[in-house]
Amino acid sequence: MLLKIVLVGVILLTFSCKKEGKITPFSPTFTFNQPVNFPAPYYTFENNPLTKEGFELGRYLFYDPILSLDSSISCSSCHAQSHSFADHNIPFSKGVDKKIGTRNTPALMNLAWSTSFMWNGGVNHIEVQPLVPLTSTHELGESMINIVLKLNRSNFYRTKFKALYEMDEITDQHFLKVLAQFTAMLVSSNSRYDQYISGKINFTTQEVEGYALFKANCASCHREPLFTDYSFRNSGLESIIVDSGRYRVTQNPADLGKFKVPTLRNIEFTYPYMHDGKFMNLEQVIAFKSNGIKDSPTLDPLLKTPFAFTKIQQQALISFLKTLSDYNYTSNPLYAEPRR
Amino acid sequence: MKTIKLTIAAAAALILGLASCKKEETTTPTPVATGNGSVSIELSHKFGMMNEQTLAIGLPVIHPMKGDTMTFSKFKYFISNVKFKKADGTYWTESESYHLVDLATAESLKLSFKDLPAGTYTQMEYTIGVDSARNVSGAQTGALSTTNDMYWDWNSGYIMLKAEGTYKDNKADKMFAFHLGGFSGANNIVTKRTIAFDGSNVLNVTKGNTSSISVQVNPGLLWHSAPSVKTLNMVHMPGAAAKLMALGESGMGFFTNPLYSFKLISIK
Repeated sequence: MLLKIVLVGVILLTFSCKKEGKITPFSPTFTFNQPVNFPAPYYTFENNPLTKEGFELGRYLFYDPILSLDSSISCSSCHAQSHSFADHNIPFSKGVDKKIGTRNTPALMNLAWSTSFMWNGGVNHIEVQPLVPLTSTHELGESMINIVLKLNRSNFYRTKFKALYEMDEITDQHFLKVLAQFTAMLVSSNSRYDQYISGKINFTTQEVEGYALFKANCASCHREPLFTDYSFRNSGLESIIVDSGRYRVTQNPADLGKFKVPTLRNIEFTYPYMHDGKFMNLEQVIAFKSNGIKDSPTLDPLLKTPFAFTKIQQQALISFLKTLSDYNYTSNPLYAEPRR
Repeated sequence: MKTIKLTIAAAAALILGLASCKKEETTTPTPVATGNGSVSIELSHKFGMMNEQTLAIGLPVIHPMKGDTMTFSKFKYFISNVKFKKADGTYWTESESYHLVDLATAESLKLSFKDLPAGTYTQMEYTIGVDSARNVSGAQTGALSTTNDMYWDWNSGYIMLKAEGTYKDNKADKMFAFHLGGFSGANNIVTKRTIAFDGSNVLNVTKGNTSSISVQVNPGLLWHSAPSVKTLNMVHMPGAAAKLMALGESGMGFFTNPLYSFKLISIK
């Protein structure tokens, strides 16, 4: 009798909640991993409740070439976990039909803290960021209409999405939301730097010296602990601007040649560097920052005076930058290509 | 003892049920009550100083001020956040109120609103374009789906209006493409409008009936302040040109013109 009543209660509960549109997460313990030394994230999964199943579905999609025009490439083709989700050490990435892009593929990590996306900041929300690489003719080259069509034709995806959403058809919104669950969960916060900050390990003398130099010269733009302040600056790569950068979005001449300050986390894995992939190693970047910055009307005011780091200082800076490598991140099975 | 246990179990199930469903109660629209009626808005698109030319896909029209002969292959725009104000000052507000008007799709030219409480309504409030909130809130659905081809991915934001087609330039056919958008700061073109129901045009919603509002739309006003298509045949991002077409000088643009752009013709 008791069992019967409880059963009725449970059935009632199930029915009464059906209109909500989403089912209760199967794994309620699956939560966003907020590092203790990080600020609160910008993206809070508002209107996109995080579930293990949603995250897993986003992960399948991230690794699935079904999203490209000719099923030849996936997001992961140019965003490889072993490189902190940057490309495989090439300046420009190859899209469908062997087309080559014009800016270096950014590494993906800690995106939940990012206030804008792409080198020029043209995208204002993590959920709509994938639209650019998915539909760019130089990247996956596909249309959103086709992607939605292909997902709906797939029994695998129909079953997976139906388990998550009250729906007849998979929409672009369903697709973009689960993809954001995967990308927003990409958190790198376990580098030697993080362990040093939390008092678990010591730095070498050279790393200590490099960290001091970093704080004095670099940290105002590459702000700790995320190692970017998400601002747009001209870093002095060229005296005559070739790529207009942020200007294309704002049409403000003051933004000519400005790009988003990239994070320095996992920088050891993400060469070549700068928006144009000009430098193959950190030695070249630090030598450039020391004495190679070129003046132009929009050059960042903080870069007007050469840093003129000595060779010993340059080596110290590089050894500090390598403390930002998070091997747990590049080998975390949670982010790896899933089995199907 | 057993009865008490059962009562507790039943109560617990009930409380759990209520707690887990609390959110739903606040979001579910009120069920159809007796005394509700419907309203439809029928949009007719015209061209010319006296609205004498019918605007349709593939049909050449002549701009009365600029003299341009234009044939539209695409004409789409958003109407959103529709509200009806009652004589007693209360509002009926449509939820998820985003409509994509597409000249190529007859159904989209009729906007339907159901379950308005019966009574006399004094005005309708609406927005031309998509409010800034939906431009910065990530993935959307329905009329706002990216599959509707009304979204800029590289510079996040909705294309509020898309007009494409050909025009005559010395007998040659050339293409025009105007993609108008911008939701913030100096580039904002999102426009709130009202249509007053007064004089001979009173909106009385009665139980079980549909009141039909006829509204005339004149997209020729896009070129009231903007130059001839021969001078400017393409706009593809937010900025001064988009504002000139949508808002016009002194509020005489397509989105803003108080007399001719969205004109109430009749209520039946």
